[in-house]
Amino acid sequence: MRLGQYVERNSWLHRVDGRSKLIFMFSIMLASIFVDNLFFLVFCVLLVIGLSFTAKVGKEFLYSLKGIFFLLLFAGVIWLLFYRTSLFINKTEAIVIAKVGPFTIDSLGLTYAVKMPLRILIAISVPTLYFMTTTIREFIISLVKLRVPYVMAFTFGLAAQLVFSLGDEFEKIKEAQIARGLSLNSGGLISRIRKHIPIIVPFIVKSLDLVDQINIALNLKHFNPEKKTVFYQEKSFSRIDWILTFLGILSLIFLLSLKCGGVIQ
Amino acid sequence: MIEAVNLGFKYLNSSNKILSNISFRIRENELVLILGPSASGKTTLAYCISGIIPHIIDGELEGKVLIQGKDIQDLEFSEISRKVGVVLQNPEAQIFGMTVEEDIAFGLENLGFDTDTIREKIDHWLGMFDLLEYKKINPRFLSGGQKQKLVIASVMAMDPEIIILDEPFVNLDQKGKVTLLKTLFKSKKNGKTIILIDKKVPNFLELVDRVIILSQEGRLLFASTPSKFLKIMDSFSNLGIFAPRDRPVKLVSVR
Amino acid sequence: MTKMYAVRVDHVWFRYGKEKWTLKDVSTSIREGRVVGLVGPTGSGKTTLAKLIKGLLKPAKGEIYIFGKKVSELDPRQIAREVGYLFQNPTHQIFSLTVYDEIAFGPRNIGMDNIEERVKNIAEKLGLVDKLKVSPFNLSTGEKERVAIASVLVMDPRIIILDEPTLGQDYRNYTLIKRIITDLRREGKTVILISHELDLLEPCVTDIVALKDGMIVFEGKREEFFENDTVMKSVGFVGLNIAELIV
Repeated sequence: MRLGQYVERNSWLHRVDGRSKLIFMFSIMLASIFVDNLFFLVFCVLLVIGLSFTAKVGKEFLYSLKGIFFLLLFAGVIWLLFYRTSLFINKTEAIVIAKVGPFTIDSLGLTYAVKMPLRILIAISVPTLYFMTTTIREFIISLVKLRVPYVMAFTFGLAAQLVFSLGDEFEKIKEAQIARGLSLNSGGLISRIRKHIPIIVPFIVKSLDLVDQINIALNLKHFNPEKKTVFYQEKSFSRIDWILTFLGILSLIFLLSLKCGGVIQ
Repeated sequence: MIEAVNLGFKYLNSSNKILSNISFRIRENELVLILGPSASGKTTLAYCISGIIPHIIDGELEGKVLIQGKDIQDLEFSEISRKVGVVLQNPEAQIFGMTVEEDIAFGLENLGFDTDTIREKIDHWLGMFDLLEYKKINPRFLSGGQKQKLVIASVMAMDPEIIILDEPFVNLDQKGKVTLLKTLFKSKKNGKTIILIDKKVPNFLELVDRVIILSQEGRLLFASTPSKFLKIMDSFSNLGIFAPRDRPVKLVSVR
Repeated sequence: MTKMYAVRVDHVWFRYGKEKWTLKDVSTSIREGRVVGLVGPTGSGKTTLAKLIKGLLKPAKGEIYIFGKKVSELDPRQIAREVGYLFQNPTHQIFSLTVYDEIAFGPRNIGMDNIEERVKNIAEKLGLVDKLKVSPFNLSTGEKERVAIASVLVMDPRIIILDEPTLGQDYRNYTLIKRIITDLRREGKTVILISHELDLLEPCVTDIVALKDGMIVFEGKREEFFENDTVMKSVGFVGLNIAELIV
């Protein structure tokens, strides 16, 4: 299961408009960056996991996040060992727990070792859930309706598709060169890079050619980003969308004001 | 309906003219075959009669192309492309939807059709090409032949009066070829003008209205009816276009 | 006296990913010097089988032998010395500064001797001698194809796989490919020809292996295949009834 691949289900979260999901998602991510409360971060993670199950993609969601487990572990260890080198954090009130070689491990470091991976987890899992319940097309339409220029949104979608056909092309060229005896797995680093020239050169030539053809094809399909008004099968905002949107924005404002007021970290 | 008058063209970064002195007339509702060996300028010719040259591709253009009496250079590209649909050789470059139905919808959205009309057209054209079951599938999972059919369907859905297809049979298996040909003949019956470009003389030659042949240097060798072509076909056998007489006869049966 | 087979496919199973099997328990043997037409409808596994023989893919079960050696135990260079593969649209693999370098690429990779002589010979055979110092990117499509063909033939392998060599090509290319296959046969090479174009298969092949849905449905000499309408139809060789087309 590729991270963030759309999973077709008939759930409330799938049915909800892409825009409200986008706003809600952004709110959670922003909140997780600014709010420093451990319980809040854990709550966010549990919330996202819970949402994924109500969206009937729970299993796929957890499975796809499995891949970043080591990343999180690694991040936690790095923070634990190296946070003291940071100039931005006030370490004076930390209680030293242990000294391991050149590293000092203290209580504050421990909290960072837990909170930062949680933040990374939120930053990755929230978009993942979004794209699992929203097609790229809906995403593009949402961006457009939120006043992002259509060209940018369209380009994003086109790039998402092209990645695959260009990837196939790359593989084909690689095969053809291996078939002529090219051995990619031997030699030192520089020699290995040089060995990829017979793959990269034709690939670039082919890609440029493809770009030309796409240009012609877009013109033939009357593509005119400025005039784009109609979208086949638009979703319109319903009650649940308004609820999600306001919930996201209001929670964000609430949390930020609590933080500024010094009530929570 | 389409007239080429002393048409010639040289690409900007090229030293040789790819087309020289091409003149012919295509009438409304004809099924036309443009034949020629590799690099004879067939695709360039397709670009010239669809307005891609000179409006999108730059180069040295000689002579002129008239569509319904009007010079292509005096028309806006969007006007021309409403009338002339083109199916290019590479399907990968012409698919713009995240699902099969979205791809058909793309051109229609750009033309301003409403959602209901779009939905009807999608179902109609996917049905014509046996692609209905793939409606919600991402096109990158389709086979080469299916992608080809999708591209053709999406062009036909835009309902142009003239349809140019550049080597459309390459990725299709026998069944796909037959489906495509049937659809083209049906469209012709419905008043369309169809222009097919290929490198070989096909086995449905007799059903074609006009044959235009280009030489390897991009010159016009022949522009007339299939029966006239069959009479002098042998003199073309060293040209690089496939001569049916080499074809095993038992494969083609005409009842 | 038993002659070693050029290619032996031994109960091979293969699939892309983890779902449908592309090839199911496929076994066949190809004698040296034969021209075998590998036919079947789209998706039947012809190209997959060819790539397995070339060692570009590894079977999930079973083994493939080239002149008695297991393909799975050879590296790309060793395989390239024995098996050449001409891909569909071979012009996509062109990358060198000169036609000479493009043709010499394979021989250099596998450490052949007398490269200059070999390149010149193959260039002569394919009418490319005056283009050797030119950039392959400046050639016409037909010339590029000949360069690609040259770059595979120059390696002089005993087995050559041609994957749909005339698909989408013109008559000139078709005549060239026919001539090449005839020459290869005369030189005693073993040719595996993947094609669905009868115009190429009928004049060239000595044997046919037909695949359908990942299994071999026919294996035999050319006459047995070309005279058997039922088998031919079942693997997709259906006549075009023109009357059908006029609605």
